[in-house]
Amino acid sequence: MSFLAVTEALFEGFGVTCLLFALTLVFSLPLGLVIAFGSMSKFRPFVWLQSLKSYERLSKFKPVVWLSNFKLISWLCRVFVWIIRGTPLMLQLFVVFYVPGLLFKVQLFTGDNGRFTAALVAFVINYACYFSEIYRGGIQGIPKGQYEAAQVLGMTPGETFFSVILMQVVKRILAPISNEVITLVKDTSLARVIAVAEIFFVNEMDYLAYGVVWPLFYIAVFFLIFVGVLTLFFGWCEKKLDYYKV
Amino acid sequence: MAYLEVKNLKKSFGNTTVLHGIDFTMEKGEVVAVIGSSGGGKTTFLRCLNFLEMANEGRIKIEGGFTFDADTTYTSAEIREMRLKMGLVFQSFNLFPQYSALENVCMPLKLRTKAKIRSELPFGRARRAAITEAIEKDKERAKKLLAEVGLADKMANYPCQLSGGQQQRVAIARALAQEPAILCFDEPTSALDPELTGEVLRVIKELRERGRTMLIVTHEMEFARSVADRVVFFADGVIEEEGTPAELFTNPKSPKTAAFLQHSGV
Repeated sequence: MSFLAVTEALFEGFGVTCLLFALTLVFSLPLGLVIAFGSMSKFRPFVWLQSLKSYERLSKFKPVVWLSNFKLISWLCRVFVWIIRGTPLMLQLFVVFYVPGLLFKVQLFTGDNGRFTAALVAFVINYACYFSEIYRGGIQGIPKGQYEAAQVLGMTPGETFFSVILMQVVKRILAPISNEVITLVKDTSLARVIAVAEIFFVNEMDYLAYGVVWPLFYIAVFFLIFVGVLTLFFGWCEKKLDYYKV
Repeated sequence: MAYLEVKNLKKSFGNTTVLHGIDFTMEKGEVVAVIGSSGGGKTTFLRCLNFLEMANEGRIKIEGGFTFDADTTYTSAEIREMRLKMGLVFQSFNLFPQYSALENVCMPLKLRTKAKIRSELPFGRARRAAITEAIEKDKERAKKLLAEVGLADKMANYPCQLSGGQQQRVAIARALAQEPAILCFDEPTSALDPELTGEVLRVIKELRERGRTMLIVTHEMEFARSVADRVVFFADGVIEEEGTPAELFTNPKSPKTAAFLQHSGV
């Protein structure tokens, strides 16, 4: 249990931690945007009820009115976000990894990277939901006047989003996103519960079996440095976006 | 045939009717001021003309531009096409904060230029060259417009570095860049303190000298009197009275107009 051996093991585990962190961001940041648009969707599948001749009579019956205004996609996305944000990430890790096999007899996550992939899937879904709410807040916080100005200038909805809205949203959500990203760094250690060989897992024998404590503090140093670098990075981003106010 | 012709324009939100059938015409080069108390439908009228609200009934026609009929359904592309014939300057400027003054003016132009050239030429170096060249022209035009509103030295500044009056002048240049048939102003000085109001009003006066057709919703009675060829008084969703500033301000026919003018201290 020399310092060198521990360092070597930690770097190995830290590599897995970093990979999990990076891949989670790569997939969950865009997926979050999709969920955000979903939960803002105005699609009403039963709106045709209102064009019925008998609607006037039917509208005395409140559930019909409710159904005709029901935003299906938005509702589905919100319920999904509620479930994911409302249950522990650890539970989600277990569910993703074990439930397909136990309940449906399908082995989704096999092979050398099976556990890692399962952890990645759980992390991506979980973080996408948190990101989606941050995006939604950012997008809905943009003043109506910005959309109207773009409309009057003849822009299409796509042009409006990418040329006008997006950069304002980026600025608004940078702080909450950085918070979430920093949480993710530390949450990666939860992957240990399905035995992904991340930074905690690789050294476990030391402190569990032999009661050696110092590697734990050593791990803390890894995390502190990682988060420190991220903090500097987000500070730099904020400075870069300082030239305009929203 | 009038340049702008509005026939029986009606608009309601839910059960509240805001415009009860507006008939209105404008000649080319005319400057019309719209006055009236809040809730009278002035702003809604302007928003209907710019298709930010869709009128429930009626017709809007611009000579050599478009005819909008509330009974017809239009595609969003058609609406965009019609919108470009109308310019709108907002009360709260609504500049895009992440773009410099120059970019605010030329960004919408650039987008349209790009879309147009992309639809005309096949992908390749020729197309890229054509786009670069056309965008350079857009930029030149934007610079000229900013110089016209007296902001030649502020082109690189971002909205947060500009005063309210300067921001509103950028917004005017941005609206002018679309070459609208009619430029509409929705209380352009209401968000400005008196010091800054003057510079915006001066720009509007200059535009008048150059023969711009303008429709201005305003609370600045003195300004309406000095700049407008005709003043229109809105009350309760109808045009209560209209006439030359001299007629309307000194000798209002309707008691509602008289009462409004008295409250406004004219």
